[in-house]
Amino acid sequence: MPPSLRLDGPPPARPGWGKDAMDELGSNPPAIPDPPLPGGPPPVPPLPPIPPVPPPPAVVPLPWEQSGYPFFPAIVETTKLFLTRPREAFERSSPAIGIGRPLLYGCILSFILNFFTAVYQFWGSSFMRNMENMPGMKDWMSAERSIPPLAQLLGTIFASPFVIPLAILLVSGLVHVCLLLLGGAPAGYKGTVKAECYAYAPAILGILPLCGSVAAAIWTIVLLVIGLTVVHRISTGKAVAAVLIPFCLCCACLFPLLMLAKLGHMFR
Amino acid sequence: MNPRRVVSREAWIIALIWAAGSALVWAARPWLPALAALGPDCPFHALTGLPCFACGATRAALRLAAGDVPGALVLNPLAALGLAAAWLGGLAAPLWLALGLPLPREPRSLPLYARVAALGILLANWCFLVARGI
Repeated sequence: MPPSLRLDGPPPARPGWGKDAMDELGSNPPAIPDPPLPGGPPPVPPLPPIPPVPPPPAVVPLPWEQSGYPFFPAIVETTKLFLTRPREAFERSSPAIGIGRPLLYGCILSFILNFFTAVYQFWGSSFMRNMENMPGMKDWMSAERSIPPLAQLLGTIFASPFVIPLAILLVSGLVHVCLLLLGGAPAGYKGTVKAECYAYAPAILGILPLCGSVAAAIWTIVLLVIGLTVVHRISTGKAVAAVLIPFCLCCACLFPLLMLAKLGHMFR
Repeated sequence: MNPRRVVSREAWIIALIWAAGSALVWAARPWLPALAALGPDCPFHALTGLPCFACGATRAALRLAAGDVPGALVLNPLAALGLAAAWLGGLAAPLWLALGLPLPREPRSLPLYARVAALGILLANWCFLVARGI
């Protein structure tokens, strides 16, 4: 039997292929297409090369979480982002970053709110003093008047830096426990703290007198719900429940109702 | 040789803030009654005549600050236990980390029996408050 017809043993070397190339390919050399038969279907033209798929755009971290970003522009840009595009802002928050920077952000914004609220309360103390003479208000405001207005102002300003971080961690803990009771918090306590801290972005509205702090409070709740849905990947309903359950348990949600009832009683 | 466990920066931040809170409460003990008087009345109690879940918590905190633990437990047992645990935890947290003791594993979700138990404890505490007329 001639060597080219033998079925056992290595395949014969093809012309143009050296021994090394054959060794690299092993015993399965690439199939060589047969030439088109005369009268057969026309050869299919080769497909145009597929253009390379552009890689997904890299998520730019929040200005506040970028290490080289200047301090004040980072606060301003991050706050603007959370106020205008909150979902995108929470998605841009890096999961790898710790709670240090978000906590600092929440503390700064909260301090701004506390500071301006205390200042406006101090300015309004003379108006409140006149209100004290109205029927029904004396008992209600006796506790408020037990601390001098200036002491209230200074106490708020000096105690805030100590109380605010504690309050943020405490509220985050309450919300996190509610999340656990409602089914889970995949991003952990760290994720809840981050959502809570960045939800304080609307606290900048505290600069506005009278309505600023109320608007900030409502907007903060909305932002916290959005933050929890993005950070923990949970449904909006679950996030709303986790945020509102502590309010309902502590009856903070009923406080405006009580105020209205008292005012109605006063002007009856 | 037992290598020393590396504690994360987050754990230290939380522990130090917690400890500062406990220290602040301890330092502010003389002024706590005046601060508590600034708080509003319970809206739920004012509107319905029934206590809310947190009714009595402020008074329990004041009793705890005065060292009257049984008096605090009578006012709101769950709040008193929670506040006492939070205050003691603030003292223990930095020491715990400094000694390199193992951190408790953080659960990502609670089993059903734990959720039912938590709800039961909350309701039992509320029934106690209603029965006591807090």
